[in-house]
Amino acid sequence: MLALSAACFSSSLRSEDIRAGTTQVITTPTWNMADVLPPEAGLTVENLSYGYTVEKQVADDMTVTIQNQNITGTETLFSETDDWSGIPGNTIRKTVPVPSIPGASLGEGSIKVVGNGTVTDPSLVYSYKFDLCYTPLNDPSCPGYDDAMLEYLRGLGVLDASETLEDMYENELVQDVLDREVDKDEEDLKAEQKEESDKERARRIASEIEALGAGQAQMLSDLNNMTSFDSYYTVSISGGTYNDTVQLDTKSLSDNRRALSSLASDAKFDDMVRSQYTEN
Amino acid sequence: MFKKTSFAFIAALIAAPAFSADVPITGTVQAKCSIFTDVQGVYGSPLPNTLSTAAADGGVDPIFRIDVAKAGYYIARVSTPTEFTSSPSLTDNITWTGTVEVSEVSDAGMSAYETNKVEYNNTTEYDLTIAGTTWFKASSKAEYGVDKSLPAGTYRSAVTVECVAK
Repeated sequence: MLALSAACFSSSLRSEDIRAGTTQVITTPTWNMADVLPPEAGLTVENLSYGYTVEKQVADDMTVTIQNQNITGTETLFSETDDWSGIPGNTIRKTVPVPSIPGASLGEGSIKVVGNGTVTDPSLVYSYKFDLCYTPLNDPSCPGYDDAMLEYLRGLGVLDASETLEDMYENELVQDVLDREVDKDEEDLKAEQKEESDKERARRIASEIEALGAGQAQMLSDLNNMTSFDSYYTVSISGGTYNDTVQLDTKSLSDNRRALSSLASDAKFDDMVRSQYTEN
Repeated sequence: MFKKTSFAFIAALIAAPAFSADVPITGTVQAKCSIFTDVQGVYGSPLPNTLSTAAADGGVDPIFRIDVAKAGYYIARVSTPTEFTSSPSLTDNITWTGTVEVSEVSDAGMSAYETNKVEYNNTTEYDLTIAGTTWFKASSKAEYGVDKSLPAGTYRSAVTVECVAK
């Protein structure tokens, strides 16, 4: 379906969409183009650069043909023949134009030798180009993208054949998808706002920490600047003698009668308490 | 009659303003034959009295190419060295040998250049009858005196390549 759409809408070429390149170096007598060309749709082969060395007798007839069959091998789409008849062998290095053959139509390639002589050290490189917008659906910026999308949706049965591009956005299914997209956008917006808020908070905390650090640094700096600070053990404190002001005369001490009375009262109290538990 | 004619002639000269002018024509001929150096040569010294560009002697053969845009108009004239362009002071003769050959072609028919080349002295001429690129490889060998050692130093020479219009 994509290929069908591409065939329908690939009409205009923009230089910025054109890409060119070369294949890897082919060093075998036969090769399959599908193995050497990239798979891009719309690719065309533009040039072939090749080289090989011929070893032969001067008098011998010999031709060397480099050719490409079509994908089914029933037709030769490109060929280049070098006639070495009657001349000495040598090394040939050559670039020949290929008439913009679609890469998808090229099948097997080969080096065919007819006559007496051998070919050694073959090396071949194809150069090609392709249009990124050959399939307009590849990129929304491609010319014809809208039409190709419309055709694609019609092919899927999402749109009726009578519906236009404007109708496409009024389709229930499409509208549902668009609504979901809008909801998703709102959620994304909230998430972004929260993330921004968190970042702002983190920035503020970082700023405060930085300010605190700056204050500590200032304090340390101030301490370090106290060059006139005298160590405490170098200070001399003026001393002197502090005489006693209370004088006690030595005399005999009498017993404490109040204490003895208190002890007697305590013994009486114990007797009274215990008498409660004594059985008569 | 003569006077009258003379007068009339003079009058015409005076009366008529000068309407003649030289209209310049310029043209530029772009080179249809171009020479490029692909590989610079290097002398090896397999013996004290020998300098050689052969790979077997430790040297590198110079390779150059000639691009011809229009077939049949040019002859390539290649001269291998017969003297050093710079070297230490030498007191004896140098025996020079050199070769030129077609090493690669962009058209199979150019391979015939090798069989059709004309050689004289130290010069080889090729008739460039096919449009395209032809690569040539030259070699040079210098032998000093008779088993005499070459003075130490740097030796330089040059292969002279010309595109000569027929």
